[in-house]
Amino acid sequence: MSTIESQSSSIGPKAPAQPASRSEKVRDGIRRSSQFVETIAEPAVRVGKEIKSMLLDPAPVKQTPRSVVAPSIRPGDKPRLLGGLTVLIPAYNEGKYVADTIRSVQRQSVHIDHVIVIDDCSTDNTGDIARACGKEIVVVRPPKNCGSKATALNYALDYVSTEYTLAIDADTTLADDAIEKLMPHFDQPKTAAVCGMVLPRFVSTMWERGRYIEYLYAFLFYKPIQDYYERPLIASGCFSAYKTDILRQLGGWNTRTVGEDMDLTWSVYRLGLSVRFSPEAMCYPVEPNNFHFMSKQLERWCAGFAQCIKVHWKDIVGTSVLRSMVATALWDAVVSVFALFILLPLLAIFVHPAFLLGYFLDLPTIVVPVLIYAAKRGEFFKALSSIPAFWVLRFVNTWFVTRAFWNEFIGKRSIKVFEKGH
Amino acid sequence: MFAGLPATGIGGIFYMGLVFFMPFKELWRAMKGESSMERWMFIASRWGLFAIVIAMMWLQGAIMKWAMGADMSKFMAAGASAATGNKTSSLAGATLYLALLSLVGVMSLVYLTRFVIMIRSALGHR
Repeated sequence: MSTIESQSSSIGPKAPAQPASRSEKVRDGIRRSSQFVETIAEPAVRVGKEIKSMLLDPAPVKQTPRSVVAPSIRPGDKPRLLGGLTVLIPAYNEGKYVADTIRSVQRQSVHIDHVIVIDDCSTDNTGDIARACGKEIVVVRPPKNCGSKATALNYALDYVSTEYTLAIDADTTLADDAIEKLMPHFDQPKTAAVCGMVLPRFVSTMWERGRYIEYLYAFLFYKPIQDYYERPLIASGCFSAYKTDILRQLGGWNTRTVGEDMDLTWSVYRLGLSVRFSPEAMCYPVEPNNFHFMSKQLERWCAGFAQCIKVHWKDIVGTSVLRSMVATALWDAVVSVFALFILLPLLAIFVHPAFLLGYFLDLPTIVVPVLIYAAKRGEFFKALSSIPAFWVLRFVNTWFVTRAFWNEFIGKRSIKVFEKGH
Repeated sequence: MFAGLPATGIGGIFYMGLVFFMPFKELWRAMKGESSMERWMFIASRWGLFAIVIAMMWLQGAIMKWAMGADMSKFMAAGASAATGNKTSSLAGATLYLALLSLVGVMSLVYLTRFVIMIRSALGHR
């Protein structure tokens, strides 16, 4: 029909040029106006939908859940994970701790299909110790030092044939039921990664005590709220599990930042998938026990945070809830320097000495949840005695955050070298 | 505050907001049949925790007032004046006022950025 019409119009008498072009101009004008209105209105409609999704329906999952953990068939056998699980342990000069880590994996209450230790050209006996832990432990050694945890993990990712991949640090031990508690979160098809609860293995020096309070607070106060909205800020690199195909789709752990775990987490959100937090799945890393190692770790963490913001900022702005979490964290991190190091001392000197109490203004918001959680774990006095160390660590954190943001955004001296934190 | 970052500031208030919205979100989930008693218990525990935190902050203020005696009112007035330019006479009010103002500013900036990015992408810019 349209062909006949077009033919007839082409062979028929031509209409006068002037009136036709005027009406075409009018029609064209109307079409352009409506396109412009649509262009302007579309973002507003999308913002409306975004606000609705943030307030009411952040991430409903309609797909059918399926159980990941299958019960054991024979008595005495460990339950198996459907699809299988490979544990990756990147290690560089971890001779002191790697055996503990491997043994904690061997003690797991579920069956682990493969354990791969990546001996990243250690100069100590890390590889030999790992091999001595059992025949089932596969030790791979890259031809040369990978230079970062991300590269070492990617090296081993080629060997993974299971549906799930779990990465743990070589200085991190797991509770015996940690993986069993972690994996059921994959029952929801939209879940791409699950992270566990982290607490320092040793709590004796001031730095370890500060970190102990920091972890209690971050993992038991903030993280469950983030998890409720299905937006944990980060799946900690020391103990997180991933769907292998998603990992491969994302190109593994990215080396463009020194915060490969945060980078990966935010990349997962970019795919529209979710990350979950399992507070019952416990792991215990060795935390820096002196300022030297603490400073290296903080330098890397803070630079990683800044680099991830630089790389992902457009995606973050497009991800409900996450954008507000990152923006408020960023604001607090930057403003705290001004408040702690400049404003409060000046007010104390020139207005009233009582302004020094400002350093403890948020004491209840930290102490109350920390002590409640510590009491539940039977560690009330350990937490109480560690609280002063947290205030010291907080000042140190402030300094390193400031330095990292200065280097990344103003000084243009981005950190590219991955240095171990302990 | 997250591990490695220093402050609770407006982040604390933002998370209080998230906790405040939880029951509404859960009601929506319940209407879709996606809620559970476990989730409601979690929300109740967060509300309880925040109630204790607020109570303890009030107690902290009361202890400070008691410890500093008459000097406190002078400090409060000076603090409030320094913080808000005499818009409120209460230091606690001034602190909350500044924190809320910062939070609204930061959130507005985030949504403005979001809006600009969407318009730019709609117009074909990257």
